[in-house]
Amino acid sequence: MALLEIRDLRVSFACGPAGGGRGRGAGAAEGRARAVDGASLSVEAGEVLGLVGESGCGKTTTALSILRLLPPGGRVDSGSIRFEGRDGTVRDLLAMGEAELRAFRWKEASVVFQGSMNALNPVQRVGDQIVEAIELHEEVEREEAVRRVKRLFERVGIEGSRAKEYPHEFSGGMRQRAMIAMALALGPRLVIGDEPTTALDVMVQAQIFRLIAELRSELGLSMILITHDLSVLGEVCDRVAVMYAGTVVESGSLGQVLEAPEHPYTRRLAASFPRPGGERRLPESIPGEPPDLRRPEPGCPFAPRCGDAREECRETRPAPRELGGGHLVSCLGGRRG
Amino acid sequence: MGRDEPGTGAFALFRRSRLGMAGLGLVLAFAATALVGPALAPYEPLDFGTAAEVLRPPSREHLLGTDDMGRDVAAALVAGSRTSLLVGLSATLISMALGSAVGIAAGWRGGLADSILMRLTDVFLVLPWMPLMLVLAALLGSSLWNIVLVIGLTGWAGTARLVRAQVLAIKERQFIERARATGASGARIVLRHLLPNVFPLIFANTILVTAVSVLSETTLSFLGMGDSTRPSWGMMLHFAFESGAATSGALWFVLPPGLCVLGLVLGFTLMGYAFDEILNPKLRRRG
Repeated sequence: MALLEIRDLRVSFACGPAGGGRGRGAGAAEGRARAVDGASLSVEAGEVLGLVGESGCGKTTTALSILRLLPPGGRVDSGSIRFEGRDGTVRDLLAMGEAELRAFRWKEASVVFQGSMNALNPVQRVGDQIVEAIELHEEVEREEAVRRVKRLFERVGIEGSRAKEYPHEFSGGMRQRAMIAMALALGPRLVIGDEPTTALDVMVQAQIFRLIAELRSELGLSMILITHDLSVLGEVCDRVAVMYAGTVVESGSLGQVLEAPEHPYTRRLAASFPRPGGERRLPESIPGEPPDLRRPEPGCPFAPRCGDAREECRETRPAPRELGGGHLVSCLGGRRG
Repeated sequence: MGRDEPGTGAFALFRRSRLGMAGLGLVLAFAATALVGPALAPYEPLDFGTAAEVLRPPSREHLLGTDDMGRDVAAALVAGSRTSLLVGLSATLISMALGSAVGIAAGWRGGLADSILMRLTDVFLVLPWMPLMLVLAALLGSSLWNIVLVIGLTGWAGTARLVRAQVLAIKERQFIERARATGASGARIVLRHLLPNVFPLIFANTILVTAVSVLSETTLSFLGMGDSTRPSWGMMLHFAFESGAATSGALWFVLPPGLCVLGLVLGFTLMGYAFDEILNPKLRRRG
């Protein structure tokens, strides 16, 4: 099987009474918002999967479910997340007990967090934080762990001696490199990058992506790279999964999804990004807004904003269709101009 | 950003605060007196003098005069600094330990535990603490350690609220989530990641609570709840009041203990505010 297989995942969050914000009509019942509503995706060993979609579409929630790191109020309602460990055994991550889970985290799958300035403890030396992560999982002498941190630092392009410094003594790019070093400390099979370059300037972004590309060819890393920026996908990804309103609407190879998008949402998303060297035109926006996750509709979640929606689209939720070559799309409509 | 690393620059900033350093000087002076003073004083603080030595004004033999029982005021004052500091610091230790534990437990666990602990805290906050202390002191008996216990047990509620608020803020920071992602257990996250980030606040609060504890000890002793085998400033004021020293003009008996209480409390308060200003950049003056 694939390294990671998420099947029909549903995650909801407790939320107060609807009414304000985007709630339709007054007096909507207190309930749960379906942040992830039947998402399926898989990651093969050695592959980088780009997970794209706009804010609030469930990218991060899906990814953090893998480590069972949902914030308070969040709950996995159904589905399965199967992960193939180093020893070849396949486990359902949703069925793990607390101790098993702690042993799994970081050793098998680690995360490069969004704003790494906040992902490092401000009052602990950067090196010590990585040593701590190593010691949580392996019986190593402290000196050996410290040597390993030094090597990791040098690998991601930071002088080893700076492991003794505190996070505020690092620049934003260095902190992100240190975070990557920490993510690699235990040689995990899967690294989740949650918008790893969002808070960085463009030059540093490029450096970080070059580093990620180097590391994956060197270590054969499998990654999930979460982003809302389509332009970064091409740099490092093999495959792309597009999420909308908690479901994966389209997935396939980079070429399939970006060059020949089949789902109307993917097409509109691609059109909203300017292409360097393409014809000069203003990026298009998508009319309407994402659906209220507290009140799921029976049909296709994109139907209200889709120019091609038919009656059927509002009533039946489309199942993923295979278009050949691993290209999956969840849309009832055929190819349309 | 400055808020994020209070541990690194706080003491350097403190040294630049003139009032804070003055407070530190006052506290250190009293601490030195408490440590070596009793050994140097020529009189025992509890030794009664002869009838001729009762309520004598300052002289060469008795630098600050004698009290209504002929005891040397200076010796009692020096011994009193030891009592005040000992009770003040020990009671603060109890308050801070209790307040921090309740605050961290409430903030970290949240939910029902938070509600129960905070209602308990509210009760201690609104209870009139002076009568409570008097009742407790009367019930437990007035030994030195009972006084410590009474002050410690009534003074933790404010700290608990403060610590809880800080825990709530830090708990949402991403490095806590990251620590969990690395496989750290809840207890480990609290001890290694949460506590070090709450500690500067606890530290600054400790100094202010010490000032209050010293004052509480003086108050209890003044009201006659003190340990009669240990001379303290409050007890001196108690005897001065009872013997009518102030009205009879024996100011050498009244003023020194009063000024000592003022000096020590002021020292702790100045230090506390200096730290408060450092840890709360909004209060920091520019330039």
